[in-house]
Amino acid sequence: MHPFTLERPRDLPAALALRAQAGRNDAPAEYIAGGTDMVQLLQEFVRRPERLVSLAGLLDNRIEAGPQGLRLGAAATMAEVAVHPAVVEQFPVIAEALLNSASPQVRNQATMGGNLLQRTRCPYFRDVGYAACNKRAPGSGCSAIGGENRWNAVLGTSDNCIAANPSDLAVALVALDGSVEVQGPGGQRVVRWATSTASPVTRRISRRCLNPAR
Amino acid sequence: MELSSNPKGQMITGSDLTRRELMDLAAVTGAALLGGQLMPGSVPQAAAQGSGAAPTPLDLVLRVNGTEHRLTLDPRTTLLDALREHLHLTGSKKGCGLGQCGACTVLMDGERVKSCLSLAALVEGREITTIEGLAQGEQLHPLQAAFIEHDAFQCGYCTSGQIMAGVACINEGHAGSAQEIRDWMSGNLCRCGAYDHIVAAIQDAARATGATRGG
Repeated sequence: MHPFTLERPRDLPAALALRAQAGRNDAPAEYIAGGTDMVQLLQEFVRRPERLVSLAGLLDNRIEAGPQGLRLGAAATMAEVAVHPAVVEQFPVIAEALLNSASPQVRNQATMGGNLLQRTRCPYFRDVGYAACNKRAPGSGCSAIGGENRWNAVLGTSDNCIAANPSDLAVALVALDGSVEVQGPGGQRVVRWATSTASPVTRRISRRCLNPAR
Repeated sequence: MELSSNPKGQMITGSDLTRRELMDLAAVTGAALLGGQLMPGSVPQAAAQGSGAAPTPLDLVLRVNGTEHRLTLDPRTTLLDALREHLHLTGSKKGCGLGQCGACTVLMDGERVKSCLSLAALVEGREITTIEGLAQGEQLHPLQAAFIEHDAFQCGYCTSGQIMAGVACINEGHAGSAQEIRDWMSGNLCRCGAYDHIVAAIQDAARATGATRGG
C-alpha cells in the first residue's frame, strides 16, 4: 500500500474537515469504515491516499423502521441489516440482496455506506497494470471495451466506460426508491438514490444514512 | 545470503536462507510472478514508494487468544500480517490477500471476519481468536477433531480458515443442513476440493454440540 497516515477523528465534523474527496484518484485522503473494499483498493494501489480517515464510531449504526419507512444507519453492517426483523418482514428484497452478496465474513465487517460506495469490480479498474482506465485516469481509454468484459455492464454504458455497479443493495434501493442522507462540509441533504448513482455526488459522500420511502 | 545458479539455471540458496527470507528478498528485488499474473501485493517497491517516507509507526495493543500484545506497526499493517509476521501466529494463512479465499478467517468478538481486510490499527480493543486459540491445551475443539475424523483437508492450507469459519457457522446456527452449510461457508475456498468432507465435519460437530438449527 501507498504510505498513509491513519487519522482517527473524534467526531464527524473533524472527519469532514479533513476534506477527503473519496473516489477521486488524486485525492489526498480517503475514508475507511468496514474496510472490506477500501483495504483491497489500497493493497492494489488503486487508491493511494496520504491520509486514511477512520470513521469508526462516528457513523449511525441503527436500523429503524417507522411510519416513514426503513432507516439504515451508514455504519450498520450487512450482516446486522440482513437479519433485522423489520428488514426481513417489511423489506425482504434488502435482506435477499445482502445475503446474496459477498460472504458471511465480509458481511460481518462491511457497512451499508461502504456497500453503496464500493468501487466497481471491473478487473481493469482494479489492476493498475492496465494504464487505460478512464475511471482511474480520465482520458486514458477503456481497456474493458474490446477486452475481457463478460462481467461488465450492457446497459447504461458509455463509449468511455462499461463498468458495472457491484452493489446488490444498490439495486434493491432503486427498486424501493430509497434515498440517501448525505453529509458534507457544506451541510446535509437527501439524495434520491435512483437518480444519484451515476452522478459525481456519490463521489463526495462522506456520511450516509439510508432512508427508503415506503 | 548467497544466491547462485546450478547447472540447470535454477536458483539455489545458501544453507542459512529460510523460505521466509527468500520470499522477502523476492518482494524487495522485484515483483513475484505467478502463472503470468502479478501476485496482489507484490508490486515492486520502487512503484510502492510514495511521495514521502514510510509513515510514523503506531503503538497499539492487540488482544489475541486472551493475551495482550503491545506492538509498534506501520499503519498499513493488516491484522493478518500483524498475526503472522509480528506475533508469529502463522496458523492464519494469506491465500489471496484480498478477502476472497477465506484462509485468513479469524474471530473478532466471536464473529468471523477476514483478517486480510482488517487494518491492525483499527481492531484495537477487539477480542481476536485465531486457530491457535481454539484448542484448550491438548484438548481439540470438536470441529478440529471432526476435521481429522472426516479427512476434511488435503494440503491443509485453507483448513485453519475453514475451521474458524466453521466454528462461527455452527455458533450462528447456520449448520442445520448440508445445503445451509454450503451457503454459509461460501467465504472459504478449497482448491483441493475437500468440500464434501468439510461439510460432513461441520455437520458432525454441529450435532455433537447440539447446535443444529435452521435448514
